[in-house]
Amino acid sequence: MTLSDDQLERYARHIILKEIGGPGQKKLLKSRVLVIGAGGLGSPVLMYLAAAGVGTIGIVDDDAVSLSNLQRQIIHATGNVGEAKTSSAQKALLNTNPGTVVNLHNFRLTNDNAAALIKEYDIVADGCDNFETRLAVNRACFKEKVPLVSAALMKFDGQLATFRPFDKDLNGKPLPCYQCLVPQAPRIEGQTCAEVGILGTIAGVMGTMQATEVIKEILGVGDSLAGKLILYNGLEASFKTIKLPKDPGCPCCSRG
Amino acid sequence: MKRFLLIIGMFVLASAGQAASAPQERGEVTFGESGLPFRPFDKDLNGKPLPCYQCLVPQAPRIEGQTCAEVGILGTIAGVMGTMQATEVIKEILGVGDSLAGKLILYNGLEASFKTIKLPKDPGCPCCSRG
Repeated sequence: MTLSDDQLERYARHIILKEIGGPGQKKLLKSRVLVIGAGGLGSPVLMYLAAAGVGTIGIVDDDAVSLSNLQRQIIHATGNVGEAKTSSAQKALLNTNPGTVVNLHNFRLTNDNAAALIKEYDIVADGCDNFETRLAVNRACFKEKVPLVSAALMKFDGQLATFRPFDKDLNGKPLPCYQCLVPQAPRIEGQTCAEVGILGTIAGVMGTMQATEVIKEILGVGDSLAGKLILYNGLEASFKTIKLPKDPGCPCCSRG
Repeated sequence: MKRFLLIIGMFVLASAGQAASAPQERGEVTFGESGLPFRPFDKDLNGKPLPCYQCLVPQAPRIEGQTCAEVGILGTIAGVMGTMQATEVIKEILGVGDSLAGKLILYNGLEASFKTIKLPKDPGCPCCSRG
């Protein structure tokens, strides 16, 4: 694979960086990323990954764009209200970068269908709106040994982590999976964005950080977030990073 | 109206802060910097006067080759800093949460680390301090 003149110009700001360069840009162009949810988090993740030159992007979402989404779901526009989020997002991505291959997966991921889809991709970015899907995605990523970069939002707060439970950390200790952090779907009513509210820019901060971590995993540069969790408090403008231990009794990634 | 001007002024200063951000080692992927907002006409919670942008950057550094075009920039870093900047603008408009005035947030994308440092007022600042 050689970079065309158009690609050399489009990705010039990446190629000049020693951590990326021509080889790193080719890695991005060959990479395949699956994004779960084309909502508040998925919007910036999708746009920045397409802009960065990620070659193949899959979008999973079974919802349609509504007017109340647009305050934070910046990939969609007013004219897309009523349209499927997958096709609305695809138009925006191709507008930014016509070289991107965009796959639309217009259904909900479950334990039955997640692994078959996820094994077609190199990395998964999860920004969906429910715990059942998150747990199904985590199980499939563990089974297929696909790194998972996961983010979540609430009101003025966000969190971000990378999960590679099939790998070990620098000290040789096994790394946790999402289910080590969230053993089971919490039985909480009224905790969606629709019910508690969300400052739109918080989705932007967490989604752009999530895209950064996806790119780092593809390139293998910098410090992976695997085994760590970043907590952002937008009202305080504060960040905290905590270690995530593996749960020796985790029903997903630990055995007996 | 005064409030409105304050926001605009703050935004301009913040933008200038990013355009003229601290020298980056050539080839470093990511060194985001954000020093917003500046409210040098106000005092902090302890009654101490707050710094302005020039307290942080006394004069335009004479460095060649430090633009994004010349040293490169990982695209998503612009996204992280821009969305945090928008968050702080909205907080200033609403008057909610803790203002960043008098503080500087440093983001290192390669490490995924954040540091917040206090920015003191420069008593000799040619902009906001009077001899």
